[in-house]
Amino acid sequence: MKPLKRLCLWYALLTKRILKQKAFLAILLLIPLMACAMRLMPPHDGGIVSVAVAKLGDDSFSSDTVARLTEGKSVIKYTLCETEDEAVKAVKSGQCDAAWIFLEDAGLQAAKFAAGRSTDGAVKIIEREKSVTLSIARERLFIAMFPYISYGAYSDFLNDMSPEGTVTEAELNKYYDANIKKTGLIEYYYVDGTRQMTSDILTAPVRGLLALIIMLAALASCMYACREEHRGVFEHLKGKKRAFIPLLCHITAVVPTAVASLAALYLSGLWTGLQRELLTMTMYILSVAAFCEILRLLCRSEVTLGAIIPVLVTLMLVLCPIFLHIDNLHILQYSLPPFYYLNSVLNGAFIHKFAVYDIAVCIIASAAALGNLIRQK
Amino acid sequence: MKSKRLIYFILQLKRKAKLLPRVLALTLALVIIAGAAGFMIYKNSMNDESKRLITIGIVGNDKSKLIDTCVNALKTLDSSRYAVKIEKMTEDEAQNNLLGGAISGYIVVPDNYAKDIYYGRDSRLKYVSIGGASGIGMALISELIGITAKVGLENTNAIYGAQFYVRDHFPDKNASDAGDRLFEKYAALILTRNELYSVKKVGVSGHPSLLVYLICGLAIMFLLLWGVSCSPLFRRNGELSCMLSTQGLGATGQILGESGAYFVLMLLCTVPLFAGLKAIVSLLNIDLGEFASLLSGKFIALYFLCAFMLCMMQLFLYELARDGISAPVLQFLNAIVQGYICGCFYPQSFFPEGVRLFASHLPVGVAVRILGEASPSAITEALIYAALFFAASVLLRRRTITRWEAQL
Repeated sequence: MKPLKRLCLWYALLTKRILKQKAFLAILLLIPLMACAMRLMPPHDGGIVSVAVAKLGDDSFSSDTVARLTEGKSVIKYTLCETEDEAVKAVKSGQCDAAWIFLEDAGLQAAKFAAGRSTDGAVKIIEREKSVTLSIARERLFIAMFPYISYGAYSDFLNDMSPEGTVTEAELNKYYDANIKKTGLIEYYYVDGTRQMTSDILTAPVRGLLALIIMLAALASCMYACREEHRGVFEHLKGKKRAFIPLLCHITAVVPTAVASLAALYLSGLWTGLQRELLTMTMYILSVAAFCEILRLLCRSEVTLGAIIPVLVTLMLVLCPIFLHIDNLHILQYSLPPFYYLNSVLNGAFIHKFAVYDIAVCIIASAAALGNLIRQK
Repeated sequence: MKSKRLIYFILQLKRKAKLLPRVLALTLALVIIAGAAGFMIYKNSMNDESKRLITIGIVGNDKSKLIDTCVNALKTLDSSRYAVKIEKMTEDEAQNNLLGGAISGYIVVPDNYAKDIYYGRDSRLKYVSIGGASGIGMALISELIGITAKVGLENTNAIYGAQFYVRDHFPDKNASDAGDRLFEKYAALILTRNELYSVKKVGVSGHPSLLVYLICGLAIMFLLLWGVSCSPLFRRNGELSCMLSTQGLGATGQILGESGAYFVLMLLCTVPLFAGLKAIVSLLNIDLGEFASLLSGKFIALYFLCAFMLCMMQLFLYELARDGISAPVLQFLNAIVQGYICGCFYPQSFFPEGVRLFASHLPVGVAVRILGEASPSAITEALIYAALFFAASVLLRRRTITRWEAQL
């Protein structure tokens, strides 16, 4: 009981040392406030790609396609233009990434295409540059035109089969889409069977960014601990506990930041449930503290630690599922604590891997800390 | 007075010169190594058919043409040729592959899905993924899957319609054969869909391409993260400031000396990098294409202007939070929040109009506008910001000195 009491006392003293800094308290308050501000952003009218759309004719094909494009949620932002010149100007001035101009005879050309005849094209596309997102946008254009083309091909096919060569419109419609649903085709699930939350793309990276802030608090604690060690602050401590004090310092720096981050998650609408959040956050605190202690013992100096921060942060931004989803750099991904945390929160099956990682990283950190103590002696 | 300021500036220069080049050299070396490794891995993975960026599984026993149509559609999508690979598999295989990290997700097509949707019954495709919070990546995957599902749906609709029409009106003909022929027709239409539009690339004069824009964003992020790295250089207590003040060097002189030394050293350390890159490019006669602008004299001058403004901002933040933990955390919080909403990670068009307007006038937003467009208004805003941060730093330092004087 006595060692536990002593540990609690140490923890309380070290926490007091950090929390008496007014600036730190202000930062902790700032974290949930910023997350809350993200949630209060105006309704999302932006997009990954912006496209200027213009119709030169007034046929139903162009009107229906434009209506289909602009209905529902999409990663593409559309700007309707009156003329071709206006749309081209929007691209050349950098306001839009592409312009889609529906030609005067767009309907006729689409019908020719559906019938398998050669066509001069229904839409003129002007693009700033070649990119994956613009290619996906083009597929979105095709899918908006596709119901018309699909119906045209179906109609031609049945007319060709019919000996009289004419199938009435009513009969074509009767067999084509009496009951079919056009929306809500897909549901999104996680591998543990829970349904995915429909979070806004804008707030989606917030959890990842909060995870990085927690990591940074631990790295800052490492830099601080390096300085304290050089100044000999912990020299008077006897025995093995001296080896573990820096680790406890990191935990005391990380816990308040983690609490502020949990508040931020709750306020930003990314909260998944008390049990899951507390479990994964506790595991994350342990892994971050241990991971940073290993880094501190490897770098040994405040300056070197400072130098690796930009690289480490960039690596985590790229390799952890914050903005991107990269599948083929597993060795690097599986060595970073935020990768486990972000995957575990929304996927119960990943928690076991996180537990194994936690245990491994804690053992390595403890062994390294003891090794460092022996080396110092 | 002037000589005291100069002496303090030189002292600061010496102090920072002991640490800053080491920080910068280490950071740059690590960035170059990480960048080169990342580029090589990326290049390998793009060349290797089996290592696309995203792999998606398709699972299901639907006997209709729907799965084939979906697979065919996804395979022939332009954007998916170099980003997505799809594979048919069983649900167990898909789950194991997903947990093992071999695929990003899988689509489950329920039994009799095509028939169910044709008759208006509630049946939906399921997209199963591992989770995480990959905003833009997830949005692009969802868009691709949504497109594929809609193509499959329209095709199925037409194929079933044709089959039932043939069954009802031409009992002597094989309805299944008719469905197969229509399916082939659709496959040909999807394959030749590029005939529906003509594509012209125009570029934009005075505006960077997306890649150049993102490189500019990364360069700015790098400047911001440098602020975190340099936290050991800015640590000082109020006692020293107070002592300097009593010696005749006031808050203005102290801030001038510290910011000047920091900025001058940053220039001295970064100029060789640009010069080295330029020398390599001209010696090896490398055609940089659209990236040539990143090594032009104008770009370098604008980069230093951004660095100057951001240095002043970092100094101001170090005046706000001085202790060993708060200072780097505040620098990072500022870097990550401003970097995010000002468009260092995503293109600015991604954000709602109001946020975009607000962010473009924040310091990092101004830096993005300077590097991206070199707009004169952004340059003026940068100079105003630098002056404001300087003045605010002086005021904060003055307050610290007064507090310490009162204590002593």
